[in-house]
Amino acid sequence: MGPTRASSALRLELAGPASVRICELVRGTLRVVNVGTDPQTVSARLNLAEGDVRLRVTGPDGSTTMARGSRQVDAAMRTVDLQPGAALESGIGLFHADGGLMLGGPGSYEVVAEYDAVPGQPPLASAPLHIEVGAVHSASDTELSRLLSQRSVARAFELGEPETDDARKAIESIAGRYANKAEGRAARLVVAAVDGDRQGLDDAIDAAI
Amino acid sequence: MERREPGDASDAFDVDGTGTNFGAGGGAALLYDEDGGLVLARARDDGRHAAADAPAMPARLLNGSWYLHFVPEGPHTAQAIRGPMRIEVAPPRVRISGDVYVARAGTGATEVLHPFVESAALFGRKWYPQLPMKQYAWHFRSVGVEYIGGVLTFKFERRVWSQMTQEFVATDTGWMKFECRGEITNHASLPEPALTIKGKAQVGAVNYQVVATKTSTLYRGCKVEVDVMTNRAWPLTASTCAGAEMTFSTIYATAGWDCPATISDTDIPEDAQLTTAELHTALATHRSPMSTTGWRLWMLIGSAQGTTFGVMFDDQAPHREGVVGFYDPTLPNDPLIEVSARGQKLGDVPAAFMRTLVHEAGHAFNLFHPKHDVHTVPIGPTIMNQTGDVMGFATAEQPYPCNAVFRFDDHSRTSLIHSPDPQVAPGGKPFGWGHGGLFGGIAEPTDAAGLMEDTADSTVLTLELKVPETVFRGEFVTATFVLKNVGDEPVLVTRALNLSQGDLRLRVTPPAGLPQDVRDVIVACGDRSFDRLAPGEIRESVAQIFYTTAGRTFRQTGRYYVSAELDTGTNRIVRSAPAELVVRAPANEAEQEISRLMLDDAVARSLALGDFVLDTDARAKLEALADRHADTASGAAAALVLANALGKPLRDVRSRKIVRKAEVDNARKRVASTMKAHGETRTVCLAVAVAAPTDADAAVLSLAEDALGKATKGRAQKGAAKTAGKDAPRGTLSGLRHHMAR
Repeated sequence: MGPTRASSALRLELAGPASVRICELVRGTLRVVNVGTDPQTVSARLNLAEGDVRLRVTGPDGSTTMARGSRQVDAAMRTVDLQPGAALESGIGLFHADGGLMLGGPGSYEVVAEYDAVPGQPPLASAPLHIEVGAVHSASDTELSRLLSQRSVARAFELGEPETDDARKAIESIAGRYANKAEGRAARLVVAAVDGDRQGLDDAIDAAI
Repeated sequence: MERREPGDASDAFDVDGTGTNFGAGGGAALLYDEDGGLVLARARDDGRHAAADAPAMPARLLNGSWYLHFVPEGPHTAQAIRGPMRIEVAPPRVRISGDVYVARAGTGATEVLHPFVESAALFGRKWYPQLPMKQYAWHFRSVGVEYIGGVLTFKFERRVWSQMTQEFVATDTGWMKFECRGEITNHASLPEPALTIKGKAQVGAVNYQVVATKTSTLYRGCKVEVDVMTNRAWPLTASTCAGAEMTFSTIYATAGWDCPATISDTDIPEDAQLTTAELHTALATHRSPMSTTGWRLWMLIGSAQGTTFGVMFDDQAPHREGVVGFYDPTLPNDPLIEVSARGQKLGDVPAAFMRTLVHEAGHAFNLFHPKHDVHTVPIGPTIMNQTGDVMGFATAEQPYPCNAVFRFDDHSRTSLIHSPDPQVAPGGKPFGWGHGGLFGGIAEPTDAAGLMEDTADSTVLTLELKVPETVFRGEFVTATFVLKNVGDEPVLVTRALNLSQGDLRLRVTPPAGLPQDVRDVIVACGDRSFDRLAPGEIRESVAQIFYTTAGRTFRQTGRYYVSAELDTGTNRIVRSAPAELVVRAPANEAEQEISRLMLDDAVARSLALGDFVLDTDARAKLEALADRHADTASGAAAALVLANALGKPLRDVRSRKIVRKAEVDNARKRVASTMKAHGETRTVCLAVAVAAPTDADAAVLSLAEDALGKATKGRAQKGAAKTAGKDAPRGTLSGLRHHMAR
């Protein structure tokens, strides 16, 4: 019989914004920290896409869903050795997952990350992240919110690539129309990454910093 | 609702057909169903035949795919009720499932109980009944099976399918009973002589004769077309570390699936990294055109997409038709990897690559990674586990891929055999459907035709329903109905293209709910009058569907399905395609205020009746909507309701005294400001929508007509503006008014 409790030498931390508006591309940071005294070998797949991370989202109406990556890929195991005090950190999308938009309307949300850090052990769970989602006010933000809520666009941001030509056009439109917003910069990154445009990627990253 | 697996056999399972009761120590006097009921016992006792002289068929011959056909007892409408049935015999257990498709019989001669599906996809001499999804009606799974003395009896749970919502919407139970005597059918249409079993069924309290013809010893089939990128290869065979040879097809055969793989193209152009958009393009351009009906899957042997080994990339409708295995990523240089595979390209390690390809095809059949499956499937070394997870079970003695098990876990295998066709068939429901509580509530049993209504569809008329794609909760909603004669001859149709007189009906299916027919809250009775529609001629009408017999029709957020049906009055029905309408939460303060005002009961009723009557509070709220949100549909509707109410005095019916004075100037201003904000056409549509359908002389319509007349004065359109009734142009006030009740 295997372990019934997750390793106490590892701690999972989920950080993110306390309040956002509906039109925002919400992102957080996920860290697994070795809080023990010995080195720990953990899965390096600290993302939704490869399946070792899940997000438990409780919405304003009290219902809870388990969000996973929209696509289930097959991939090899990748591990990393964490020395005592060391951490593995990754950005994590809190915008779209297999069930659609994670923070779909105004209200209070609670997000808990689960992570299969060590094969054969129960997953680590983070402390809850509370996010207050507010309504948008301007016509421009309302339009951006509408664009982002389109399935093809939301998936493109989650997966890092548009799946269809129409999705690509929508992403390019967001990049152009909202160049001064984080969402526009993210759209620009997506396009540059898909095109393998190294210069474009560098420019997009510079603009984002 | 948890997905239930087919029930196991009762104690009286007769493996070899000799009538022996295994485990019960003799003949059981009464056998209860798994759920404690006695449906099975009653079924067993119903019309028990003498065993006859023919010997019982060995149970093992029941195993496989069958073509099941129902014929109602007694007088009935000609319909083809048929579909695939899968009998899985694994002593002491037997499980049965099936899918039923219903089609109206054609006008020509029909052979009753024809044992073969036209244009069936053949797999050598085997075939699997794979019928058009538009005929899909219901799915069943056994919940108590017995086979004694050559008689197969089982109770089943039935899930009824809604063509509108493309979901299961109702559940009930039934039973079937077959005499299994080894009878052979040698029909000319069959690829080879086939076993046949006959019997009875009761479905939704209706009795049927049933016949099943065996089609294969496997349960389901799907042809796989493989295209290969240049400088890569498809693994024709692979060997386990123990030396056992396997192919893609033999691995699927362990799960009872017939999956012949055919290599079609071996020179897909080189591309070092493939994006998902490129994969979709490849699927669209390289897949061979369909030469036969039936399930098929396209598989690409591609280069790479980062370090991923493979992906079921096709998450666009029609879903799950394409998968890719990436040849180029390398296996880790790790002690847990078999020494000859370390650092090698995945494609150069046939066992590992084949595992990935079988795995990705499994996703196309809607299987999940065990660690992601909501049914709590243990992680292990079987096919549907991610390669990384299988590697997690590797040891120095049993490195990867030696430790991989080239078969499906029980849960995945059961899903492959017994899950409904829409769940597993490529091109069916989206990936992820069927792995959670996705079935609707329980309703009254229906007959074996499922939800198909027994009416004759018009072949010369089309009905189009237009509703907004997205609204926010509380927003005013209208529907437009467009009726067209697509035939070559004039057609007589009812003039009542409104929701008040009963000829036109709207069916609304709320999120996770049952469909319901909704009508206007005002019901008009009277004689039906007709129009004659010339070939190509179109009729159009508008109705408010914000507040109907369902109350506030779209009162919760979520995805609704809406369809319309018109009884033409000449024994024909014309139905629209279903339309989706998504209701979202209000996104800003303005929408929140509109929602709050519109969801007020009195305001909602005012909008439905076209008048606030004597409710001053409702009037104040309508004025708030009209004044503060004039540029929105809800504000415009409120303004037009005010115009309609104030355009005429309101009289007490008994005393004839005026209880509310007309405010004609106010009413005119409301119409004028609405026309200014929304344009003539939109105002006309909204005016017709807010006027009571029984009031073709409603004040708001006269006011709109006056306003239009003034607007067109001086324009050379007077002649056209005066055209009334059925000859009025589409979308005009006269044209729309024509269809209101009289």
